[in-house]
Amino acid sequence: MAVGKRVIRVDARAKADGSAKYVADMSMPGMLVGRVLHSPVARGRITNLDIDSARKIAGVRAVVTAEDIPGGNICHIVIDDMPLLANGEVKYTGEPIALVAAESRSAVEDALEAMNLQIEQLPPLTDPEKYADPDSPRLSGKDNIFAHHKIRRGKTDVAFGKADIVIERTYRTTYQEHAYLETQGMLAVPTQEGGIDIYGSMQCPFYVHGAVATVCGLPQSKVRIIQTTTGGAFGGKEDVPSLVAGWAAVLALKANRPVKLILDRSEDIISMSKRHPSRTHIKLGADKKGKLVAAEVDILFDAGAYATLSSVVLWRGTVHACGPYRIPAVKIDARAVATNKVPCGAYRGFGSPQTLFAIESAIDELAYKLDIDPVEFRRINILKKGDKTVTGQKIRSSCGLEECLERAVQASDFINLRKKLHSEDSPVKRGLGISTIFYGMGLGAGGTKLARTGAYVSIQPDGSVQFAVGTTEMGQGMRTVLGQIVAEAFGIPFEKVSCLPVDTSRVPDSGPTVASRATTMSGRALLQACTHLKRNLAKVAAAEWGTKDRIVNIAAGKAIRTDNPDITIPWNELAAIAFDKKAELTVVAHDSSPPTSWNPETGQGDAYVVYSWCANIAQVAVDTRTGEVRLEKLWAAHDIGKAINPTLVEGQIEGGSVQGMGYGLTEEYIIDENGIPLNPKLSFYYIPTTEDAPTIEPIIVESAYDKGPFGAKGFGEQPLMGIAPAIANAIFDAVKIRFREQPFTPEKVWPELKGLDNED
Amino acid sequence: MLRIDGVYRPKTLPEALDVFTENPRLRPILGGTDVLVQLTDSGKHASLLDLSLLAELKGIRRDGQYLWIGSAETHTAISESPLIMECAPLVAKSSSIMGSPAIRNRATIGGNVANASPVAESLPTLIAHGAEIVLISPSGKRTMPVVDFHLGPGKSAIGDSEIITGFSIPVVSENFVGFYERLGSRAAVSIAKVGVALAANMYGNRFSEVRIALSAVAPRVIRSPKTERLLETHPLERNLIEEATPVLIAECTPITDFRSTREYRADMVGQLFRMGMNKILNR
Repeated sequence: MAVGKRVIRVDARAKADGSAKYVADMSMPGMLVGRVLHSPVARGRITNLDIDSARKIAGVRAVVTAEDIPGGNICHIVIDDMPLLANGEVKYTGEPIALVAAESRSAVEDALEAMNLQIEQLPPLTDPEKYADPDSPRLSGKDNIFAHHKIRRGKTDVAFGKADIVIERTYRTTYQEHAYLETQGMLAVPTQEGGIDIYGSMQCPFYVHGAVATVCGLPQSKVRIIQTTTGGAFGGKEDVPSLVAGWAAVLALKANRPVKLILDRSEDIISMSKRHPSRTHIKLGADKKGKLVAAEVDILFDAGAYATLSSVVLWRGTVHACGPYRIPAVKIDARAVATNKVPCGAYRGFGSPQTLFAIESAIDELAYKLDIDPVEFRRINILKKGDKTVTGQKIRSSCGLEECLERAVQASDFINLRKKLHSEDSPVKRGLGISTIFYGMGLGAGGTKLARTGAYVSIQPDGSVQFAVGTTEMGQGMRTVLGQIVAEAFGIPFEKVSCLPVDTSRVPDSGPTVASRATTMSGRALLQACTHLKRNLAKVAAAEWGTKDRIVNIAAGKAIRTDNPDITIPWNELAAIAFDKKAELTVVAHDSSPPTSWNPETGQGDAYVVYSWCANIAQVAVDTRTGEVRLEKLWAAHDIGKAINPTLVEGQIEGGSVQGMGYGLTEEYIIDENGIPLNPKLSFYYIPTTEDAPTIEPIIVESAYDKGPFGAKGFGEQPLMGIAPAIANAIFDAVKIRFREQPFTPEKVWPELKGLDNED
Repeated sequence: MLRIDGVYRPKTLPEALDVFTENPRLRPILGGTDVLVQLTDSGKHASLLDLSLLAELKGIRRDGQYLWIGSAETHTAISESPLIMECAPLVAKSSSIMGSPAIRNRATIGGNVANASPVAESLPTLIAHGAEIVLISPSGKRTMPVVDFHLGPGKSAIGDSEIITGFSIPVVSENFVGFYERLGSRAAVSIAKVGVALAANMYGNRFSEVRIALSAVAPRVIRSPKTERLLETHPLERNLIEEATPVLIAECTPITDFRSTREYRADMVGQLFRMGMNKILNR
């Protein structure tokens, strides 16, 4: 059987040997090169844009500004505030202003130059904490606030009165750039019927579908989106591909030729979404025995110039802001505010890494203040089956946090290892840090409208099976895992199953491929389709045997008579007979995700359908001479319900952890006070290399989710989310210095270390 | 975008000099790991003079008391050469940590020096070893110490239509001691934040012929004469290291930019110096 097996990824060979076709590899007869003119400044009014000169450049086939967009000049995401192209004013460095398509890249560049863009600059708002200053410009609405989420549970003022110890701390996090291997890119092809086909790199084809129809002024029936092999996404290809596809589409319609538009790396870094910078203020109280009694959290996210996904990103950050702990009294206020900077969006963890960094650091600080071991402090307070989250949601099942914690502690030999590390006499100080976190799987109450999936499954006359889903492969291994689910459902070998590319014309709207939902939600839809097909096959077998349907079971790759299991029809024969009898062997299933609930005034409700859980233990080395911090080892335990493919689960744990380490230690994207990015290059934005990667021990915990396929619940984002705080906590363990702003670069660590013994 | 209008590919050095003299605006190129990136970023039109076919620029050999490294030798070749490890060990080390394997396979030592970056990996080690650079133009050959060749960020003493043929490096004696310590922003593929190279001869506990070269702490890679004199005039002991460290720090003028701070760089010059010196002390 296929589920639980370490099946090799179906896309592994093509990606390793270079034969996989990305959008950059695609070509069409008559294809033009498309490029974008971006704003070089953070805020201002466009005073000159010489379109006529650009059109006169030899080889130029289309020039498009806000005025030439055939449909609405809007990139629909959550609220419609972001134009496809700036209209008169610009709000961030990198904002798109005009588009050119030409026969060659050099003609495009000449045309962009010929436009002679002039902008009258206005003072930008770049510090999110000044969003309410009377002197600050008003960028959105009356108050520069895109979203405000609240959680109100119990009476915190009363509860703090009963606390023995209360701490108040402020934590800050900065941008994180996705640094996907493949930059954003789309190929738009006008169809003979006046519609448009889009091929490209993306997470959410149905977002792109809606966005392209809107900007092109076309009925959705004339727009088709096909995902090409996608070289990494991490949330960075959730919403912004709608922009890129929109640009390629309007150029292609205007030129009536295919247009390929691929961003350069620096252009991509400057103009595409990032993880929101944040400031989180936490007041946290506990009694002498270490029981948490109350928390007040005030969260501020720097959203950038447009609302994009900020409201939902902030919502997840809010729900996760108190960590996986039992806290009876909670008050949370979270705001996402406008600045003249690049619009922030989705990035693995979706608002939770920011708030989890804050709460996991604060929990550690409070534990030390109480003189309780940080592991013990977590044992006292973590959520267990039957407990309620801070949104009042009762955890009824699938709660493996305690097991994660204990297994990570055991695997690392935490107590003995810590003693040993502390006894080392060296200028390099070592320590252990812990984080316990959780992840609300799926879109939750923040995205109920989108919480659906479709699946297409077709049994071929030779017994092989084709399937398609509306969620996408972006490197996480979804095509393989879903193939295992289909194979398992029929009880046939994995090799018999093939996954088709994602095409919006084949599968119904399946919502976005985000929120670690693809395995669980597309898996559910596939199982529905398989169940339907198994019923059809049972009918075929029953007719063959002249018995009733209900005494036929389709399992283990055959039809079996339940009244006499020795009587069977093998799979290939069954498929051939079914085909001959004209049975329905192709079905499209629809699944609606399990329900959630939410009261926006109190922030109470069943926020997510289920939670995944995780405990990380990090061993760091702090070089007291240079301030360099190295993550040496990591024990990462994740409760994911069921590992459909343990190798891919381990891969997710390793990749996500290293990405989380980059967030904690080296990745720092700097936009100066004028709104100008200083290091939009991968040579100066330091993602970790394999040489930096720690030794990682992935620990898989399987506390089954009864509504997930074979018990599985998604977890792809979770490995990143708790690493930065585990590192901060380990640094504290090593040198007794608390860092409340990531990343912990030598330039930040070294000044704090002065005064320690720096001798060899 | 890259706008290459033409590429000349001479097969011999005389041919290259002819072409270069006729077209003095040509941009010489070897591995292209700096040139192509800079041209892509600037978007300017350029024509290239590809020197990679010239046998005259290749070669790693020993001529008596001097080691010769041709300017077109790659960092991979240099870092893997037993001869260089023996005769100029710091040069082998700096080539071994430069960039990534892919970059080291293409990038050359001549290109690294010609690019004249204050953070160039090969400059401090060549300077510490007392290397001379050999240049050729239609008006003839000339030689100068590498330390005098580097004038500032992107600025060097290279003349019009002049080509770097290679480096002549005094072979280290059996009394050689030295180190190259540097800090980057991650474990690999990172540009140096601070680099300290030291080469000297050691007799008992006395240094002689000390050359220290510092990268990323001044507009060009610099020597530190005061510290060199101090080391040459005192016996090596723990006190000397502590005494010399502030002298060395005072000889550099680091800046604060988005990559690091003035204070951190200055202190790290001292830390790297201490680490290297302690290795010599404890050898």
